[in-house]
Amino acid sequence: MIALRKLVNTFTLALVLGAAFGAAQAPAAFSIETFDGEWTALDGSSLTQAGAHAEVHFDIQCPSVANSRGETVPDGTVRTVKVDLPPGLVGNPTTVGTCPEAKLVFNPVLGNLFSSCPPDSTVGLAEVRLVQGGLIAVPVSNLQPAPGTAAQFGFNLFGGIVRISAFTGEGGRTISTLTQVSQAAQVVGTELTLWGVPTADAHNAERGIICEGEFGVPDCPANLPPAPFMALPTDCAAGPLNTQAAADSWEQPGLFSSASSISHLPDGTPTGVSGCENLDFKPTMTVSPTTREALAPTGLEVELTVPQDQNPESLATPHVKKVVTQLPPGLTVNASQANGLAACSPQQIGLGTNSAVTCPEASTVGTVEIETPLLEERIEGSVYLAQQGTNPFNSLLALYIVAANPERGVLVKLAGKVAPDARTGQLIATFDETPQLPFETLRLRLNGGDRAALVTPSCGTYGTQAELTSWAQAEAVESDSSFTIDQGCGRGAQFTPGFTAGTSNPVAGKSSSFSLRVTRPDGQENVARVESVLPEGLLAKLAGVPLCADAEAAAGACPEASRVGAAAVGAGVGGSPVFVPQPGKSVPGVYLAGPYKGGPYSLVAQVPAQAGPFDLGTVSVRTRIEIDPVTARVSVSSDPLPQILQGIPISYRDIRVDVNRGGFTLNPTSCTPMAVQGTIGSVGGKAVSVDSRFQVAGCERLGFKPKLALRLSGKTNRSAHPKLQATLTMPQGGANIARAAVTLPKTEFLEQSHIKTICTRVQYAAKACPKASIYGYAKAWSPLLDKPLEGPVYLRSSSNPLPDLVASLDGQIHIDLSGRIDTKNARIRNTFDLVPDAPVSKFVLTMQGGKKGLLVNNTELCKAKPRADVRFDGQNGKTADSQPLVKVDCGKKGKGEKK
Amino acid sequence: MVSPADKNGANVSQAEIASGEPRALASLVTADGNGISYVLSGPLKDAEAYPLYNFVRSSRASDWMTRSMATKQTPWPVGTMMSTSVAISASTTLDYSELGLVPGAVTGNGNLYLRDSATGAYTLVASYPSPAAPTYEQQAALAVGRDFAVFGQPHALTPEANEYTGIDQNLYSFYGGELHLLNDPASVAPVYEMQDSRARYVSEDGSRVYFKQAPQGNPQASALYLSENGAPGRPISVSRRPGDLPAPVPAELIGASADGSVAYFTSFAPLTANAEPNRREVIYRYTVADDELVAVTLGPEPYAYKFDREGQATPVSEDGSYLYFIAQAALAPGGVTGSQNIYAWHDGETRLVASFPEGFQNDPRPFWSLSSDGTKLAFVSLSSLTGYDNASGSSGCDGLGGACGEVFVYDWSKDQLHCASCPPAGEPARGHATVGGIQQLTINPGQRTYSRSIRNDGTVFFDTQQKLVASDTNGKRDVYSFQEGAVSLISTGRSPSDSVYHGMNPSGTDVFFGTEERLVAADTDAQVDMYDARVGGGLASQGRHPSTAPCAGSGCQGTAEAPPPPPAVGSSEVRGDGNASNRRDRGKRCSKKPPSRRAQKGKKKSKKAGRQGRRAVACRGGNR
Repeated sequence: MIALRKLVNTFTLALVLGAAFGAAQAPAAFSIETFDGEWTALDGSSLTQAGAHAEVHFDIQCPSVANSRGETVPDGTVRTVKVDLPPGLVGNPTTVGTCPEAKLVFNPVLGNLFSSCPPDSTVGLAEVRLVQGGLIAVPVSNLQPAPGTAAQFGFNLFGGIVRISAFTGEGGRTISTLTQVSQAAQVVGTELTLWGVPTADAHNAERGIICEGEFGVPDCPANLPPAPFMALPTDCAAGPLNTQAAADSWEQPGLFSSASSISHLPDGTPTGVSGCENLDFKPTMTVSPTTREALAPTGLEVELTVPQDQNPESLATPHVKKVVTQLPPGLTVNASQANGLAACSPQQIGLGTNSAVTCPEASTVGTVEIETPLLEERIEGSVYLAQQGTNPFNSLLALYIVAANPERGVLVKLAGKVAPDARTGQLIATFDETPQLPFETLRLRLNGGDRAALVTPSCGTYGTQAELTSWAQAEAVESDSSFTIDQGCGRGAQFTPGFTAGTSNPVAGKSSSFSLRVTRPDGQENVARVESVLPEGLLAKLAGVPLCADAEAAAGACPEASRVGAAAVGAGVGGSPVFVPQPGKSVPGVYLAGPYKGGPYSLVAQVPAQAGPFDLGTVSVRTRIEIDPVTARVSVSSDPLPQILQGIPISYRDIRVDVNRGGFTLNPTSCTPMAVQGTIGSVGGKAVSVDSRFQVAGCERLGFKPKLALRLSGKTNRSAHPKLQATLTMPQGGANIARAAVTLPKTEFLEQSHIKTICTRVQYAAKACPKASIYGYAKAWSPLLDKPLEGPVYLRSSSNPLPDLVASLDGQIHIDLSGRIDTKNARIRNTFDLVPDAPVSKFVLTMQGGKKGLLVNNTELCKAKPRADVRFDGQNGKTADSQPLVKVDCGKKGKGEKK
Repeated sequence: MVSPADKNGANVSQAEIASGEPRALASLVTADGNGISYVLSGPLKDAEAYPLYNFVRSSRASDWMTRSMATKQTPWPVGTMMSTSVAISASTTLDYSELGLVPGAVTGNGNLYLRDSATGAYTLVASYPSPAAPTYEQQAALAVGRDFAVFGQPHALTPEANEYTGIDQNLYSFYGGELHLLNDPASVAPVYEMQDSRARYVSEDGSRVYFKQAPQGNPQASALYLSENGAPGRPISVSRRPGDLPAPVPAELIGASADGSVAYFTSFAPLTANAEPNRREVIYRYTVADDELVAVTLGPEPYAYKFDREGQATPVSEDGSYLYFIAQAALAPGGVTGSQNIYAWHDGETRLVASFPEGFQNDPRPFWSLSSDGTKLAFVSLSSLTGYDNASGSSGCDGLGGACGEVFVYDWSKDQLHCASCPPAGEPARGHATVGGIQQLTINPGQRTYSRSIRNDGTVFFDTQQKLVASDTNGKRDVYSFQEGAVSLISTGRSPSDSVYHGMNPSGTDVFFGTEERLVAADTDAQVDMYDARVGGGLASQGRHPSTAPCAGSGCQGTAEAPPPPPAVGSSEVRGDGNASNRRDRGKRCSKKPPSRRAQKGKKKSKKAGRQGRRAVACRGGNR
């Protein structure tokens, strides 16, 4: 018979056990009267050494009342008891044998009132206070755990099983629940002792009433080598530890009575565990990508090993509290990962609870395996991406590790912060306040494949630093590891971008959307900037488009009215880059803005960086627009493209701009084959020239009917210097002028003596022509512009015998229209050899008369009926020749002379 | 899924071990398959009590609903005994409580109730003053049905009954709404010896009760009696031999028909004219209609007629026409004297089913199931009966010589024996196969229930750890069917823990098994649940369970968005020159000289060519 142990001075920690038949016809509110426990050495002395394999005693007493017969009876019948053990107080059921439940209540010799569990499955004693008075002691056996429990213990009480089911709760706390207390078990209280080393010979006398099938064996060895079972917590800083208990009764089910117990010394002084400096903590950690390929998508394998001391004479290994891992530079987040990725919300992960994890499958970024000495099975699970911002760290990146073994009722949820360096993308992962549960190995694997979480650096050997801290000591243990990338080393130096650009509807003179696309092969240098020169005549209608103000552009808040197109960006490493915009997300816009970096206009690409579960804000890239003043050819030049966003490198794979505002982009009226030219710059300073063939069709269907009216005004007599006004009108929808030559009537000679001041080319380029070099004025109306262009007409030095006639047209854009002056058959001729392929509805050129008049009459005009010879070449190849009669103000002699 | 989604952390009980040998469980299934009573390892949330044997009842209407069958407990110490069920059938329980739960019942008395398992409604059977400290055993019962109960009681519940204080009992029948004393008040009924329900001491409608009755103080002299319709019993183990006194002689019932019209019993006393008077144990067949007694086994020394050494019963068909028994005598061709032989008897013909090696006392195992019509018998044997060696290389079969028990099926109509659980490819045996389960559902140890496992067409349901089909990949116990030589999985073969057979209805349209695996969407916990594999499929309301196979790698992520289609760039596809004619290029002036005559001629040609869409250049310069 097992001797009953008396409770020594109560010293905390308690698990409750107990079942009682309640008295009372009208049951009073059920309550727990006392709830206490202690930790002792084998000799019964109190023990506070952290990690010690102590004897752990729990005791519960139910209140008693006297019934009408004067008998003392319990004041209620325990139905359920739940006990939250302090964090870190754990038992390891794998070090002892197990007993099938059926054997606990079946003895082939003595019947079902006795157990036939093997001696090596005994883990402690239950000393039961009977309602009839007296105590009985029965061995507590380690049962084969039922599905859903981490461990299950039990004892046979009058043929019924009293089960103690252990679950893993919040923070790794062990929660023991007694739901199996049958009302048939007529007990009023129980002291439960769980042994520190159950297989030790010291327990031979207590191990079982039945030993190897024999009754009343005084010495019943476990026949297993001594191995630790219970271990005290390893957090000395926690101070006195609290154990919570709650119980309800069959009379008032669901009405729980609570009790708590603070760990204390025999004299009642609260205390926690101590002696943490005596604990040995030697973890190691290795980190390696899943590929040796450079600049490639990669998974990551992390293995954290914490050797557990299983020597029953030693102290338990302290539990891991914090892990900080700094990955090497270059091992960065892969934007491709966002393709199809989802994130797990706080509600779905349910941190701090044992609720089922409902993170979407698409938020799975890896797997985890944990080997713990507490279970024979591995605990497996998944790594989920936490929802940006609404995670415990309010961070962009965070991971949830969920490891579960449903069969063992184990559910571990961890949250870790992943902090990318905003400038380099270097990653630091931190998991803190991890549960106080022992484990030997934790293997974390982030998924590889095309949409892997990370990108490898270029070739080389890299080191990873880990700092591992236990609950026992504040000092971290450092563990470094390294890996080598030595495959595909040459790819990163290449830069062969692709380039496609043009209009979708290549009909001459018609409006069409214009798109530009730059692609970059995987693994090459990243794109840093994009420049492009459009074909002549590929223009935009600026009229009626409000501009995005600079402040709006800077804020990424251009108004919708200024939108002229859309953009799309594909980014990431590997075969499956992520594209922005994604379905349902904001569409990046391209907006027309005002002057920028010397250009008269600019484009602002506002790209909401929303991919998968991420929202990295709006990226605003401004592109200068320049217009060649001679050809009106448009060129664009982007600002440097951002290379990293909030620590996530953007490996551009596909950049697309689609200028698609209705009626905005206009095709040329020349069908000559041309090209959209470009220069793509890399982050390494490379600049690659690219072009994309460009040609429109249908020019022959365009009309070409320019009309020119000439008027000479002022004195009409010979030697007078008339004023000349030429007015060109163009019908809508036709081809634009490519070249214009006007040969004045033979009545006019060039008055060379009036050519006094000429603007040099240098002056002209510097916009510093002397005022005296102005000889006329020009004004041009275009449907593409809100206002006409206008400006003075200069004589500018040239390489020809005569200076050029240059109209400097200013307005929304600047155009220099340069005319060559020469003579043809002794007649003065001005030829605009290069007229931009741009629609002009009206053009008026006025040359001064009088003292600044460049013309001189060689006859009386009113008698001459002078005619000019005019030839226009259209951009579409058509020509228009005419000999218009030059109008003369015969009734207003002398007026022009005054000028 | 039959069991509730929320089981308060409890599991459907899966384990029953006899002598270290697993055997199938037995849950009580109603004839229509719409009800099943089984044991949970803990109380449901709404349970009013948690007795040691915590059984629940699930009933199917549009969906399965489950109620705790725990009887509300009597407050202690007013009560002297726990409220509990003492007998159970698929439809009804016989409950003891000291609470007055219906009119006529008195709180503080011992009250016996019939309780409808489907509705939970109580019907009072008896209410009597509760003496101090009654025991569970004093509530021994033989059978309970929808409107009857047969039970033993030491207390005098009828005027003519005796009030006993020891272990002696009166035998009562609650039948036709009245309580009847069946035994002679001068005798006692050793109810504990009559509690193997497979022997059918009580007919299905409760109208016939076979019972043993012995003079007080001489329980060894118990003879077999038959009570009909609540009337006092009349002896049937009475010699028909000419000249013998018509005195009851000791006998043991080993089986009866479902309606009780036919009964088989053994006796060492010669009761018929052809029985030899040498105290050989003979099986007799008794028919109620003509009060006739026929000796079934005659000839050499037979021995051990009971099929099941753990109980008192042997397989008898529902109509009583088929009987299976064991004898160590050669009663039919092939039988071996001194060995354990299983025989089948029908209509006067005895056939050998199987003969076990001489001296091997472990066979057959006490697990069997008989089809309703009696033509098919399933049983478990450790011996190699059909050629498969279930001993060599076996594993997981401790004790019993190391051989693994296999399920065999005998078909009377073909006189053939098949092994249902032997691996088709002859792999070494692994673990015992079980059939004909057993389970104690109430506090009353005699009230064991046994599962039905075989249909009239010979389809047998069993569980085994052996992998019999390729899709059984879990290495755990799984539930199979064997039909016309082919085995099929009933459980999935993928559960992380054992799936255990629990029972079926007589027609076999509903087969119940327990498994931890989640097979429907409504199953949301990790506990062991009861499932019904039924003809016609599952319940749509419970939904199909999504695949539990975890995703792996980037396959977990949603479908990758395909890149948007490349933009249409028509301008890069245009070829040729759409200009009317190639205008003079600019940027390089033409010669100032007037074009020569030849050039002018060429110019004219150019205009013509332009009209014809051809290209003719009068003055070429650089391209723009």
